[in-house]
Amino acid sequence: MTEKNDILKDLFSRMPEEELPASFRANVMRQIMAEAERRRKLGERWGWIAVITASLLMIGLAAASFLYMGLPKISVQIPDMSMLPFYAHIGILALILLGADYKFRQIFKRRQTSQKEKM
Amino acid sequence: MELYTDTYYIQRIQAGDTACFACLLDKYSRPVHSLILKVVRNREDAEELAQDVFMKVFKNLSSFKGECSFSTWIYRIAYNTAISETRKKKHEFLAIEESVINNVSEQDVVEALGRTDDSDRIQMLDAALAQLPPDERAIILLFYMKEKTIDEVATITGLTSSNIKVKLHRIRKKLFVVLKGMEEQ
Repeated sequence: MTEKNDILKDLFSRMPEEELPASFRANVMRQIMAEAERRRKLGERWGWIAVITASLLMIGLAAASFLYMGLPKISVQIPDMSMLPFYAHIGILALILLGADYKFRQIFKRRQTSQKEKM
Repeated sequence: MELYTDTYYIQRIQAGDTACFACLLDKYSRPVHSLILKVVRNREDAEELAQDVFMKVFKNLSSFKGECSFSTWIYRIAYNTAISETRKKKHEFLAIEESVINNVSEQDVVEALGRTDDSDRIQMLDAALAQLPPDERAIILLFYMKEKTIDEVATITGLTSSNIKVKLHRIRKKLFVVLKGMEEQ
């Protein structure tokens, strides 16, 4: 097979390349983008699975260590309830005042915009 | 002159810039489609297979380690895809006796083709290619049309370089026999 005067080399070099269909690029890129999206979602899903597994493992380890090491005694103290009506009164009053402030602001804004429109 | 190398685009795609794949597509879609079309010889199949090739390229981009050039790697995928497709369909190809293959010389063909004009010669070559089995067609196309070296053709086809040399010699002879036969008719 000599490089010089190779008739096949000469003929093949003059053989035209076939034209691609116009939609080829768009079709392939659409498939590629869909595949990339599918991979992203799959990666995200695996991420969630890893987080959930790690969380469950940590909760399990914590529960196991509590069981084997013995639970510390937790005591919850109930506060004195005699002042509850007073605090409830103050809380309701604050809410009423906040609601009134909100309404007044709305009325004020509405009046300002209607005055501007008239001008 | 190329603005960026294939490696640059591959790195960008692997970093998540999927749109960069369009640059590789622009560069390789036509030669890959052309090779597949000449191997399978059906426009619809060739378009579908070329799309498959680029999907495989995208999916397996992480396995490309740069041991060969990107074009050799992409042609290997295209060759395997096209050959697998042709194996699904049964075709009958020209069988030429050994004595006939050995008796024809390039000079005879050059003299015979000298009597025809350029466009007729190309058409005759295309018709002669159609009579070869798909794997032989792919090898000769990779060597002459895609201007791949013997080592690169060996990498693409998975055969040894010495095997490719022998095959190329025989395919050339076969083509000469067919071309000479066409000229004589």
